[in-house]
Amino acid sequence: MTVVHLRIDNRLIHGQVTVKWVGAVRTDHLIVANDVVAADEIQRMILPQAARGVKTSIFTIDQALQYCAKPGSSNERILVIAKFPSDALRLLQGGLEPQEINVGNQAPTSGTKFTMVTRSIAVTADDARIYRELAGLGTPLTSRMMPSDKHADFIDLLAKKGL
Amino acid sequence: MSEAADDVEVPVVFVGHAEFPEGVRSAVEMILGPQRNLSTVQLGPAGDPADCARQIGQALDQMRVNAQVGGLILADLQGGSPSNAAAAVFLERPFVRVVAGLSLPMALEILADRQGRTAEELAGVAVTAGRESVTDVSRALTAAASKERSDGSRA
Repeated sequence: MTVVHLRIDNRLIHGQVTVKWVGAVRTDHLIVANDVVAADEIQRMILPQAARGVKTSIFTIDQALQYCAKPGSSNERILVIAKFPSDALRLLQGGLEPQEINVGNQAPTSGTKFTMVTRSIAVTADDARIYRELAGLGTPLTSRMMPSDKHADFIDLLAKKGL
Repeated sequence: MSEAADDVEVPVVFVGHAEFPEGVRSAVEMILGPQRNLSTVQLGPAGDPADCARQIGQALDQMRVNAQVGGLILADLQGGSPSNAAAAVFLERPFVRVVAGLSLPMALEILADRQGRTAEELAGVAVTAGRESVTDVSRALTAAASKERSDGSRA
C-alpha cells in the first residue's frame, strides 16, 4: 500500500484537486471512497471524466481497504478522497496508512448546527469528535487549501473555533 | 435533435466558480447589450455541489428549457465542481448540452448568433470558438512586422 495522501472533501474530484493536488503529491491513482457515492451511477460516470486522465476508482470503504491492502497497489501513488470525516475514520480503523491527511472542503449540511472553521469547511460537534479521534490515530491532520500552504494543524483550528 | 425553428433561441446558463459566471455575463453585456434567456449559477467556497446541480435545473426550468428547445450550459473548468454538477444535469436531461472551458470569446460567439440554431449546433460553435480564440498576440504582431519589413524591402 502506498497511499501518499488522504483528502477529506465532500466535493470529491474537482478543480482544486485536479489543478493542484494531483501534481503536488504526484499521484497516479485517485480513489474516491464513500458507500453512497459508490452506489450512485451518475457519480460513477462523472467522477472519472472529472479526473482528466488520471486513473480513477469509485469504491465503497470496504472496497477501498481491500484494494489498498493488495500487494500490487504498492507500485502506485494513491490519493484517497474520503467524502466525510467519518469515511476517513473508517478507512484508518480498517488499516489504511496514509502519509498525511488533509481536510479539503466540507459544505455545510442544512438543518445541522455547524461552525465554519475555514471559508470552506463546516464542522458540527459530531464532526469535531470524529476529527479528534482521527488525529489520535497518529497521522498528521492538516487543513491546507493549496499544497504550498503551511501545515496548519486541523485540531488547533477546531480549538480556536471553540470546537 | 431536429431542426430548430428560425425564431427559437436556445437558453444558455453560465456555471462556474465564485463570481466568474456573473463576471462573464457583465462583460458580454458590455459588448452585446442586455441578454435574454441567459442565467448564471455560481458556486462559492462553502457551496454544495448537489445544490449547484439543483440551481442549474431551476435556471433551465425558469427559461422553459425542454426537449423541443434544448439548452446549453457553459461551465468554466472541466472537472471542477460546477462542471461536474452540469454533467449530472446532462445525464438527467439529455436534451441539454454541456461545454466546459467558458471564456469571453466563447460566450460572445454563442450569444451573438443563437437564433435558429439547435443546442447541439451551438455546442459545436462553443468548442470551436473556445479553441480558436487563444492567440499569442505578441508573436502574431512580431510575425506581421517582419512580413511588412520583407514586403517593404522587395518593393
